[in-house]
Amino acid sequence: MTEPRQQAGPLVLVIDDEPQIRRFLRTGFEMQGFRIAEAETARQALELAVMRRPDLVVLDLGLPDADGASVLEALRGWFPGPVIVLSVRSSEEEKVSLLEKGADDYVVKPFGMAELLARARVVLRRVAQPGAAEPVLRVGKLMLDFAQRMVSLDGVPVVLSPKQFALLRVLGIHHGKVLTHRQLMKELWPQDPDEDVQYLRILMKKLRDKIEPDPARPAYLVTELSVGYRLRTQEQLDAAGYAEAMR
Amino acid sequence: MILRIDPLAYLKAAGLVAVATVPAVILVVLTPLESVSAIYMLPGLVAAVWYGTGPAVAAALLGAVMTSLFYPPLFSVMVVRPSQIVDLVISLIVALTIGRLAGQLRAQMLRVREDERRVRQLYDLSSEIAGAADVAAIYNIVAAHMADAFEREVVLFAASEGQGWHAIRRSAAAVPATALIEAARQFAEGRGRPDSPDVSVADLPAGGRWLLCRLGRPGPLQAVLAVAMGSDSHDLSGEIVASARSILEEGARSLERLGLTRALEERQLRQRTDALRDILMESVSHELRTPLASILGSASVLSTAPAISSEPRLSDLSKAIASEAGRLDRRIQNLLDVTRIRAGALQPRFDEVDPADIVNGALDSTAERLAGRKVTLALARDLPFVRVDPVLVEQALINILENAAKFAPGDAPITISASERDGRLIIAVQDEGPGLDQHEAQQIFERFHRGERHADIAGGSGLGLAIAKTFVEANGGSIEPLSEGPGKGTTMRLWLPLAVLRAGEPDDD
Repeated sequence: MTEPRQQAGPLVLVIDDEPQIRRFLRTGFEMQGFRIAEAETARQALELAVMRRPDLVVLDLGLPDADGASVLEALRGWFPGPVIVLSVRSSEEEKVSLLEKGADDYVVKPFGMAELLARARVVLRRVAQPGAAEPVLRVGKLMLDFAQRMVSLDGVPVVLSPKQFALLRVLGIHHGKVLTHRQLMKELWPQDPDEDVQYLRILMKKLRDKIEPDPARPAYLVTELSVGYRLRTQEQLDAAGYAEAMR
Repeated sequence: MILRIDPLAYLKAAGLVAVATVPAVILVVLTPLESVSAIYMLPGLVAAVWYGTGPAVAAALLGAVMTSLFYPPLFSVMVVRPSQIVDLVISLIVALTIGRLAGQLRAQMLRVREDERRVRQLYDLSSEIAGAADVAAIYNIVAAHMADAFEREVVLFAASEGQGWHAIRRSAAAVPATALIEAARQFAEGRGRPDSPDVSVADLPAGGRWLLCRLGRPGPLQAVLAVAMGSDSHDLSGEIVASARSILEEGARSLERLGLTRALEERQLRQRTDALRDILMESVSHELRTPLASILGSASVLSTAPAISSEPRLSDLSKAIASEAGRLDRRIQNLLDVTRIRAGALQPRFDEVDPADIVNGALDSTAERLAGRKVTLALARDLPFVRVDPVLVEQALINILENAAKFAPGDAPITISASERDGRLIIAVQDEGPGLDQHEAQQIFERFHRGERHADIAGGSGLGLAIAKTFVEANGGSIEPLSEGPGKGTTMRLWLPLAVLRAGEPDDD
């Protein structure tokens, strides 16, 4: 993978009351050149966040002294950096509410280190280039030129309707991140965000028909069931590695 | 109270007058009395108190006649002196008035006593009923009270489970006539009609008259009380019916209260059970999964360490730890799902979704376990949306895919197809595994069922398909297993309800 950068790596604040989980997270992150700060309780976590200013927070929801969601809210009061939430396989509602309270992503326990690292890289990269500073986004054969309002597949321009482009654009701005249905509705129908989610689904179907190599098995625009949609990054696309099994 | 002419009371009143004559004669003999009219007021008074107004009036009149006998000349009814006439008239008026008043008082007293008795009976009834633990006990108590209140035979009919309509209590030893049973049943069945009274009279050809009363709400729990009225019709006065009604009302109130108490208890019990189950689920998922998360996470870190990833055998081992931990986690998930199903806690959150999303979600979740297989995806273009809980259906599909992967040989292809048919959506998972015979196709979804022919090659708890079936059915769908027979592969077909499509789209294509 990357070269270990002993002191210069990004600082991850791991908030988890389970020592065994903290132990493998520490090893896993350090092997990839990250620096680590650890907290066992919500209080400790907030103190450390203020003192150390981490580049990334990994927050376990099952803390002994506070509800994970309230820690997230307290952090979001002043902390602009990315937060990844660790949750047990829980209700989709909880995931949605965490994302809307400002979590950047979630990983469901049990998870492999590779999965968490991939998510961490995506959110850190987004912080490095806020608001799609990159004028052009590339993933697989898809190219999205924000400035020119152009989309092409394998170099061939694709004609999208304004709404379809708006949907792809907002997912592109938050490249790699899950956006909930409600967040997308607010972007696309700002006057009427409580409009039927069906519209969004139909819009997504049409967009996929235009840009997906196989609309039946979307590669770029993936659905997080009952939560929302995500535009995969190149890394996520490679990690998915489903293509060889599919025809 | 029933007013009837009682000749005996009049005789007794006359007797009182005769008894009063004794002190009158003695007084007349001992002292020259001007008049004994005062003495003869007494029988009227006593008769009024004891026997009521009628006999009191008779006693007063008789007393007046007797008084006149004592005026000189003795023992003649001739009244000659004006003072005697005045005396007689006054004493008669006084006696009559007193008699009337006393009679009214007595009647009132009797009414009060009767009311008191009825109130006491009802009080006894309700206090007895209060201790009743079930419907049958209430019926029996009410029947016993009816029998006491009317001093008549009471038969209690009810329909109880497995026995149909029958007498469950009777004060007399005799078996009730079929005609009576039939009458009671008809009366009970007629209760749904708005005009059907709660009390009615049945005249049986051979069994005399019966008062039929209803108890309880319509339905399997109602009862009918039959009170034997003999053949005298005046016993069926409004009063009997009224007191029967008050007893019935008390019974009905108690039945309702019992129902409410029962419902309340059940609800509390359910709430406690729910709370307990939630705690259990919470703790099982937390206590078992936290160490699992550490195992899987640690193994995943190890497998990327240079010292191990450069050594294929060690790398295989560390990957095996991770994948087995994942398998254990799915087993725990199955157990939790079964707990949810058994507790009736499955509450689908319906949404209108693209079925392709559900299929893809299931494929993503099983990618690791299906690795190395040829998986063919055949989704019809422009599939209609379905109205389901996508998470539950995805889990069902995951279980079906895992099952196919488990039973079909390691490289056998799997085909997933989806299409619309007959106003529903079909998702089919086709494998080329050992297939099913007729018997297995019926058995396959039963909990813990595993085909015996496959027991040697398959692990797992056999829960997967049972959970899949329950999840799909909770969404208003169904699963059917299809197989040409042993060795010919299996197709699992899910039928799902379609969403109602709305016209009009916001898109500007």
